[in-house]
Amino acid sequence: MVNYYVRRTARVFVTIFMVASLTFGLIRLLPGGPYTLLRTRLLRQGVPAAEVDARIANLQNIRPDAPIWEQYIDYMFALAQGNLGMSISLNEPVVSILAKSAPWTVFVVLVSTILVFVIGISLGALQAYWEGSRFDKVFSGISISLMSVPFYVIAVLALYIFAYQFGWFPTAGTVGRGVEPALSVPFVLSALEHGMLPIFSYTLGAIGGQALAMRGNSIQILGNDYVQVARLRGLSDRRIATRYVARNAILPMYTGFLLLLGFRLGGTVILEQIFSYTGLGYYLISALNTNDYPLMMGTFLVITVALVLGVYVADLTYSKIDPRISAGGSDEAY
Amino acid sequence: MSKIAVKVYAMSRTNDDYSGTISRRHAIKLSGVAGAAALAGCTGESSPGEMSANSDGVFDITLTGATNEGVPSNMHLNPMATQNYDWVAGNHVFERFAAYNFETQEFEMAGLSDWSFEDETVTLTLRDDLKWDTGDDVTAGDVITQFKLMKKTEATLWDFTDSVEQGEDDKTVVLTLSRSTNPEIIKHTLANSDLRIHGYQPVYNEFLDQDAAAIQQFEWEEDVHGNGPFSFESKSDQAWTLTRNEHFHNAEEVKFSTYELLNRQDNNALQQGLMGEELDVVSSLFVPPSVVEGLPDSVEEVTLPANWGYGVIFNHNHEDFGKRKVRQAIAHVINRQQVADNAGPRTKNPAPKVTGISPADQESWLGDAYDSFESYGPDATQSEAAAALLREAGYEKSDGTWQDRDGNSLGGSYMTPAGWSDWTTATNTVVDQLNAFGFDFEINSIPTSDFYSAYTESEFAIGAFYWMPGGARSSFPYFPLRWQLNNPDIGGGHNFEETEYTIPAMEGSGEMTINPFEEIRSVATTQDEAAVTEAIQRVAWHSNQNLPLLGLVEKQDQSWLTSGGWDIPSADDDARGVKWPSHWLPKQGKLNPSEQ
Repeated sequence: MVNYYVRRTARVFVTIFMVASLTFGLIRLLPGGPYTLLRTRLLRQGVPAAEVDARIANLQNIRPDAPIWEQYIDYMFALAQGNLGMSISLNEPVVSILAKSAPWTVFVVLVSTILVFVIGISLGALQAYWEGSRFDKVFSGISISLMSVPFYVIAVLALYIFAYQFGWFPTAGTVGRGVEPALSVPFVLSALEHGMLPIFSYTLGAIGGQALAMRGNSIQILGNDYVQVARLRGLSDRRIATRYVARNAILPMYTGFLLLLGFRLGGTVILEQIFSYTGLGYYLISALNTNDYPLMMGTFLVITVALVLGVYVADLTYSKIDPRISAGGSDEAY
Repeated sequence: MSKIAVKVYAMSRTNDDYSGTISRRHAIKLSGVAGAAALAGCTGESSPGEMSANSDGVFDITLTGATNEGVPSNMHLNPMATQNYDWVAGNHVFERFAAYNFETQEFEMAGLSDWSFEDETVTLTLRDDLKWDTGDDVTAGDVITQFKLMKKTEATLWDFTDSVEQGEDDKTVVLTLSRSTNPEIIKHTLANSDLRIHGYQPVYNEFLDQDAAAIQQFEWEEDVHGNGPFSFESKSDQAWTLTRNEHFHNAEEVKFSTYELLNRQDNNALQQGLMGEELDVVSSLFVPPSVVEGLPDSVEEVTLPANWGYGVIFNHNHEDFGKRKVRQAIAHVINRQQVADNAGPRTKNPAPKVTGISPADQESWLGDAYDSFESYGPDATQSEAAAALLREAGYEKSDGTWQDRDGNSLGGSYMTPAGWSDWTTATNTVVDQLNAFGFDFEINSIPTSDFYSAYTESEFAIGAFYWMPGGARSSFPYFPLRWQLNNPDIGGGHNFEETEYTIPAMEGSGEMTINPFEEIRSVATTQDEAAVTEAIQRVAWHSNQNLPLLGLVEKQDQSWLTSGGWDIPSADDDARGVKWPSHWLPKQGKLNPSEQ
């Protein structure tokens, strides 16, 4: 048993190491260097070319390019100590950029994913309960339609309609201008207000899939003998629905929840761009545009680590939640 | 809930005025009790029936613009830094020396009250009332500190300057030139939009003894002091907040209290901002015709020459495109009017002649010689002329494709930057025209970073590239003509060799020999206007005949103002001719809250 936990934990580190190495290599294969965009930008800003070249040469003297293997070793050692390096484009430690951007992304992803599950599970359960009814048919149709609309389409439409046309919500940003970043009522309200549209866009489309999954699981369980027996025993519908059906139907979705959290962190790259929401995804795009290797690595790593931890936690806790599964052997959730 | 009520509600909650922005304009227009009440909700200082102006006539109102330079909290205000200087904010905080007006084609003084040019001496006189926002005078010492630091960073000013010192008083700066220099070049250098008066000595003096890298790494974020119409107040992830600088030399004409620059990275977000009336001004933004049609009536477009635009660049070491006749054939085939019509009829002008001079300035500089310049058919494909040139160059048409003597088709990869949407359309048009004539090109669309490095490393045969360096400087032909020859943006990667070229004579049927590099360099050191004009005409003629680069269309920059709630100058006011109107007009007192 202990051996199992050790193996799983070791696998987390190996996975992170391998992903870090792979991303390091892939990122360096990107065309251009970190100063190409800067050069273009300065030229377009009206700075004469010779002056631009002199400025960039000065910058490169400060950060000379070492051989790639040396950079790799330095990076991995620094990484092991929790040092993600300095952002080339922002001239700031990557850790501090991640520290100020990650909470916004986590906020949107966490709230959205919880909503997806709560609403999706409730809807799916009701559909299963009234299987074949008009309610079931209508919501199955809606769920399938929602699943087929990418979240970024919803995001663009929501931004256009609710922010630009009606002016109900802000068009960009994480909190209002002039709101002090402190744990205060105005700050929380402002953060909620700014997060509303991103959360809405990220939630709406995903509900359908979860509702249909829950519906399928529930219908399958409703046909099981023990549910029939419960009915014969004269138990109330409510008790059957919650204790016998819902519990068992939700079980397989638990792992999905943890994994989805990790996966959806990556999806914020597009979402945050649409809403100019300065979270991880926003900085990832900014880093990509400027070939800012350390910042790119940092944001990729956060997303990877979140996913790996999601799988890890799911693996470790699944047996606790479903006693039929015992730890070891074939109990891996994913 | 009425819009006014929405505003008050929003303010009470978070002081975030996104909905207020939408309603403010309408609130300003209301001269009755309701309007005043709404303003009172924000400022607490208006009375019913009137707007909330203070005793200086300044309204507690925010002009909302935008920046797409980066998240403001990551940016700073050191104009000498290589990275993360937000020039959009900096332009409001720091006054410039002078400015070039594209309407009048003349310079206008800004931080300077005068400049004079005498042999190898340039005297700059700062305005008497030019002050830092601390109330202290901007002195010659501040400018000298700045210029000395610019020497470290190898700024172009020092291409022709030998030394800088104080003149007869602390408002006079004297530049001693290393050689006799054309005053136009000095004027354009000083009036270049990126050059601001920012050398606040208490901050910058310490860098005089350090390496250039130190000043280029310095991020000026705290205790920022400028001399422009607005002072730095604060910045966040969302916006820059700038407040009216009461010590600005023309402060009495600035009638509003705050200038806010929202962080909007995306063109679509900026366009939506104008559409939803969230933004009052945008300094420069490409807006396609279909979107322009949907903008509210209050939004006004100001178009100004970009002195920049789509052209064709050749690798002069290439076996085909290194031949002058092939380049000329290409020029004959391309219908420049069609390229402009397809890529942006509202914002692109075809170059009337291929000369290397900005279209707006061609006739005035070329004078009587203008008509003798080859036009290469600005609105037609001149197939016969092109075919004759290719035959003379040794090519034959076979199976609809032009081929060399070995049977290789004439064409190849035509490079173009990915994601530059109007350029993609222009490239499609150009390549279609060339292939319809019998060339065999395929489009190679690559990311911007790759695009520059491919040109810099000469790994191309032919492709799309801008044919003028842009900015006000390009109005003086010396700059674009020299730029086309040595193309510093790509480190001379087009391999146009510095040597003598034999081309048809400007007059008569003979030939002339010219080293365009030497000739254009002579302009820099000549103060005799007639000699300058003659040299420019000769180099332009070389450009017209030898085609170091092929200019096709010129872009018009689009700048945006709104009249809803704001008084802006009429379309025929020359003050609109300085870039950018949203930066220049407020300090002229020509962009203020509407009192009607």
